[in-house]
Amino acid sequence: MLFGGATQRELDVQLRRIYVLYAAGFSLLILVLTLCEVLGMARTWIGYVFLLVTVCLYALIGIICRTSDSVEYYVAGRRVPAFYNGMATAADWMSVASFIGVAGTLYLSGYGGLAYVMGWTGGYVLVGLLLAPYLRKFGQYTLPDFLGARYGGNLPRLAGVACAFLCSFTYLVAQIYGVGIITTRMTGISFELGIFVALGGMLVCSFLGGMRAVTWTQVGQFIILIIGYLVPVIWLSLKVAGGPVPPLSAGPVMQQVIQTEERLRDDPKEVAVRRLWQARADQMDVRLRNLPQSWVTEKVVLRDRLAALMAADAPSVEIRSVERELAAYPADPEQARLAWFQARNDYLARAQPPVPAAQPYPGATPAERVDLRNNFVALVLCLMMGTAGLPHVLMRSYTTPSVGAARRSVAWSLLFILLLYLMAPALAVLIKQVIYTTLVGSPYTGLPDWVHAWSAVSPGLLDVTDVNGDGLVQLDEISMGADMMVLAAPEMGGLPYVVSGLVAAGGLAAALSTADGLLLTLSNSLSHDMWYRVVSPRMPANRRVLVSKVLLLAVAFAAAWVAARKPADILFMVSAAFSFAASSFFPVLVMGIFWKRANKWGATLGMAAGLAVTFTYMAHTHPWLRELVFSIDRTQPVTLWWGIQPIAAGVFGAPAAFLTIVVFSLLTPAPDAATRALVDYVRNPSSDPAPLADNAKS
Amino acid sequence: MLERPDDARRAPSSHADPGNAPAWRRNRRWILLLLSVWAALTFLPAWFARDVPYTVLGWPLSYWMAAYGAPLAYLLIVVVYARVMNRGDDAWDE
Repeated sequence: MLFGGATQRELDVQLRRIYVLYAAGFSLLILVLTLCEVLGMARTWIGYVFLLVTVCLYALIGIICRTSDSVEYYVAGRRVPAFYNGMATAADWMSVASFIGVAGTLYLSGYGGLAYVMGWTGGYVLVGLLLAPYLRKFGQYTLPDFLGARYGGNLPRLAGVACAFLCSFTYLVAQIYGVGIITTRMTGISFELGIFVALGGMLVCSFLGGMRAVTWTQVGQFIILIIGYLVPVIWLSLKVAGGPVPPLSAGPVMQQVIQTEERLRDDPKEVAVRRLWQARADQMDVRLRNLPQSWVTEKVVLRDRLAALMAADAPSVEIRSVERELAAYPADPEQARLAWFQARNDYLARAQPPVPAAQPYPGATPAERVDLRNNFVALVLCLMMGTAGLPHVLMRSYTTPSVGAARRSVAWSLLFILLLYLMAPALAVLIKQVIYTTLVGSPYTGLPDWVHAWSAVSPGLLDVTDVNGDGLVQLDEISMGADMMVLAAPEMGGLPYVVSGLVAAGGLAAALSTADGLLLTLSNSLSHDMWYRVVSPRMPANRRVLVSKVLLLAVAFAAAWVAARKPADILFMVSAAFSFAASSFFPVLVMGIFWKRANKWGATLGMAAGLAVTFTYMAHTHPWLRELVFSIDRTQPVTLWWGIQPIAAGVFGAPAAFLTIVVFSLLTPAPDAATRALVDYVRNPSSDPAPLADNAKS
Repeated sequence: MLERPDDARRAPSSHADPGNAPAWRRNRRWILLLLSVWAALTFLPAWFARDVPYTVLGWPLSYWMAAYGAPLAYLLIVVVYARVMNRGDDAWDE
């Protein structure tokens, strides 16, 4: 049987053969497509082939690995070798945000973006040292399982289910949304159809084979996503920096970029462009101040302009643009206020000089710099604790064969994650160099094709406007979204279209692998921890798997439905997941392992307090969420605690949770002898016969 | 009253009090040591990022530290911990 040798050694040999063949096959596909492109194959077809072939590959692995055995379904039989578990964890962990977002963020926010690189890699130190080996030794199916056994009773278990749902569902919606964007861009099919293609790809794996199929698919997805990231970076590095190792050869390029930026910052034309943006922002300010009167007068002004243009027999392009503006005019003063406030913020942002590529905390005043530094450190800490608390990553430590393998698996995961994260800063610098040397200063009549293609997708992703009317592109006339850079990088660097298709396939793999892991976490929490453990504990093993599969379908469709409605602030929802994980799972898991005195009440109240503090802080400080919760208008200013942005709300929630656990554990009776014995058992890494694991199989 | 699943009660009590066992103490010491390295490498360079004028391989040092130095150090920490603990696991059975 594939993916199931009789001994661990046999499995190892078999896996190596499968994945070497798989990688070779995929490389062959790339070569064939390159040849087809040279021979004149249409671009959309290259996109279709990549989409179809990769999704079919994942589906094939899913079908081969189908299972209804509960140990296979929940934890892949607990015999995934550390090396492959590391790859699967890396794919599980690296979401569409890592793949397409990190390099873009580094481009836009310079040093500030490194908080994500540090936070998302440093979190693995906490996973490896504080959590993974002990969770593996405990050896059940889910995180709430651990909470239920360690703290006793269904209360901590149900609190765990709630936290898992909170952390994973929003994250899952973001992944499905990302798949929609990528498939739309890659093949031109509609967003909704893209979402359902993605859903199909995901469900074939997780529905048929649970953790077993997801694990082996994730290994395959990791191979594709890393090829899809490395090929364009190395190619760009050869082309722009003249060396094949991006982290080494991009250093000197960074120096050039810094010099260009210094020159451009004081360039008179750039300064003039920034002043024009400032003037537009001021104009919006005036309008906002004169509401509701200005809503009437502005409409009259627009109508008059249209009439004047018509009378003067102006070119139809101009007339149509004013007509469009009039058609999109806010329906009432209330909407006008929101729209103009948004426009004012956009213009203000563009009136700022670009963020320097490498300078840490580039604030104008010392107070601003301190503020940036505090936010950087807070975000790093929050992301690290969040990484160490996200259930879909921690769940992967259950699938290794032993405690030692769990430790090694964390090291392998971090190595595989670094393969991508170490390339991201280099990629950002290389893209910057390309933009500065090919786009800035070029005439508007000869803009490259990718500029037209991407600004047609959405002005939020790319907008190049000749504000000062000199016919040349100034740096401050370009506005780019973080999400388009990696996907557009091959086109910017003038690489063949096959590479663009490859990058999109990589992004798709990143999104699908994370979505699969999240989907399993969600459905297992609901079916195993809620249904089986609490509602009907007498359910036989095969029924449990069936219930899991049904719930998995329900969760998947619910998430796709939410994603198809294009929720407003998706990026914020993802970062909120980290804060929630940092202030709920991380404290109670660490305390459960390292402090025997921690008990049921401390844990339950700790999770509640951590989440409450995090959510309250976010709800008071994030304009969108505040409007949702308190219906306070988003144009009102917010008050922050020590200037910390809501994105790092977990730095308040986590200490609150730790403190609550300590205080309430000490106020209530100590855990009984059986619980203390369980902690000793979890702390002991030797692989003596484990009654817990045996019980799980029955 | 909610009842806890029996499996938690079935944890073995063969190791009388491993809370004080030498292996657990050793584990805790390693964790403490490695976590202080982790914290120092994370927060010191970030805190003093504006005060270092040097460059490494063309990258400004503070940037290089956050982009490459710290992540590589994290990898080293996890590898060292896995090595040390996996080699020392036999100590539990002594």
